[in-house]
Amino acid sequence: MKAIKCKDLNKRYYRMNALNDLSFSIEENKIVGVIGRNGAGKTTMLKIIAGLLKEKSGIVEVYGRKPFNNLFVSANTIYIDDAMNFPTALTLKEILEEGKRFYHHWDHDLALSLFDYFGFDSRQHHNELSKGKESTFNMIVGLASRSPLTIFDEPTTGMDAAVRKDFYRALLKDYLAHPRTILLSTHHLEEMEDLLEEVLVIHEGSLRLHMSMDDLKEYGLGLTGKRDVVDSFLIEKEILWKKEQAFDTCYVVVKNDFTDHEYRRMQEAGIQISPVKANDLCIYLTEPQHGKGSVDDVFDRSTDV
Amino acid sequence: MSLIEVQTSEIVKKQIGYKWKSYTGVFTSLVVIQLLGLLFSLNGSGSMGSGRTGYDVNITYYTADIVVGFTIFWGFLTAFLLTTKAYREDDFAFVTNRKTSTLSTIAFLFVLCVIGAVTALLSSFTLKLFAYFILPGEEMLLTQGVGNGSAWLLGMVATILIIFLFSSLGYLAGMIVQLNKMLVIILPVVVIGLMILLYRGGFPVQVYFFEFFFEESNAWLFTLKTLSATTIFYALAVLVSNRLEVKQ
Repeated sequence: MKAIKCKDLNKRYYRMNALNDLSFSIEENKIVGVIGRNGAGKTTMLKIIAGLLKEKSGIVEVYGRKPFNNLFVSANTIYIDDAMNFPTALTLKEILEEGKRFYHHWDHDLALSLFDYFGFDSRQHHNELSKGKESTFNMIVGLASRSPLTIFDEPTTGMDAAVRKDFYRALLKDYLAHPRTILLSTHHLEEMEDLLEEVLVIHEGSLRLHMSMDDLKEYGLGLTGKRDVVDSFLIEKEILWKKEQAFDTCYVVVKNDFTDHEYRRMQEAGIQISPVKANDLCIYLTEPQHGKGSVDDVFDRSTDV
Repeated sequence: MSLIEVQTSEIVKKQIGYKWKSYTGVFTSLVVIQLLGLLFSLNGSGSMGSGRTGYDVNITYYTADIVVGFTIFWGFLTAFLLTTKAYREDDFAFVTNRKTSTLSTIAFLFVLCVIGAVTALLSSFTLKLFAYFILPGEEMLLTQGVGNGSAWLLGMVATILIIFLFSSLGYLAGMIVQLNKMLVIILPVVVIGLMILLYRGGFPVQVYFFEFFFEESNAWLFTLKTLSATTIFYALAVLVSNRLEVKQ
């Protein structure tokens, strides 16, 4: 059974089309990264999967059931974001106790050890925490719940580098011991490369790419060389990104489907071939299509005047 | 991880316990409002006096009427408050859907109404103690307000039902307001405006409302009337809440 299935999912959110015909499916027990620019529709998608928002049209199924307002999906899913609303009357310890009552797979020992490790005081309240501490606490709730579907929406907001590193390790260790489906949306792909199995790239409300992390690392190829020489190799190739450089050279990122023969010919023609980092590739893939250029152009224009 | 099937009843029970622990603020407001009611009651809720040459009789009644009235108002406000986004989102921090969330809130409100009614009625004894020890007076006639236990119990049930009725009104009003913030102003204007208009047209709704519920002398009929009205108001609130998205 698929953990998540989406087909032609549409959602309007505050007069904007947040999701446009989004279709994908995710197998059980995978760690999947959800990558996309700000406002690409990641959060909307995750909230629909968690059953917190209602889709406008299309099919969405979590373990074969429609998630919205569904008790079964709610019992088997936890959605963690940086705006978790816990009752202000409860102390942090009491919130963990409540988690234990509600989630059947809840691991209270793990919750308490992480709680101590990250230096929380049991008498503290959730609204008294700093941004990073709050994210850390939410992360503990998310990990300890051991929900078959665990969704983290930008879990590392405000965390410092050391805590982020601890979080990735904790997530990986707990996942290996208790495999479950984990969805993570993040802007720190370079830090999570070793953690993620699959990547969903969302761009302007639709799916741009869905592949395994290993494939993504080899998906793109960077070519640097004289413009006309490089151009001659780009016929019938999918160009992902192109940047003109000085002295008639250019840097082109293309989809990596070259044959060995083409490789050799390119090397002979003096083109530098370099791998493209997954993080950079995602940035290129989600470049706005309307030709605004880079942020540099904004400043160049003002100096022209 | 294996998938878990949960029962609605199981989650409702857990949610009630969760609300009992997290919504401690409502108890604080109950204490405050009843103390305030007590303070106002010290003046006596009714008095009569007569005098002849040589002696003077002045009778002051000390009852918990004002406290009960305040508690009814508190029931309305508390229910209204529980429909606000912050409280609704608290539910969704853990396992729930809209049905369990609403059912547990209504059950929790019922428990609150029972507590409010019991403390309100018991406050009459506090009031009498106060009046006896603190207030100046020539002679204290400590008569029981009601004749026997069964009448007192009946009064208790009636108070619970009335507070619960008003909590359902508050819950409905709160849910309607949640649809659109503008309704905070529009709803009371429309309700009160309609009342005034109808009153002028010779149809005083509020008078009929009070006659319908409070002048019912048959206990069973009273129970039936209040409970069905409460059910209708809660059902309407559920219908309204179905238009709300869970968390935005």
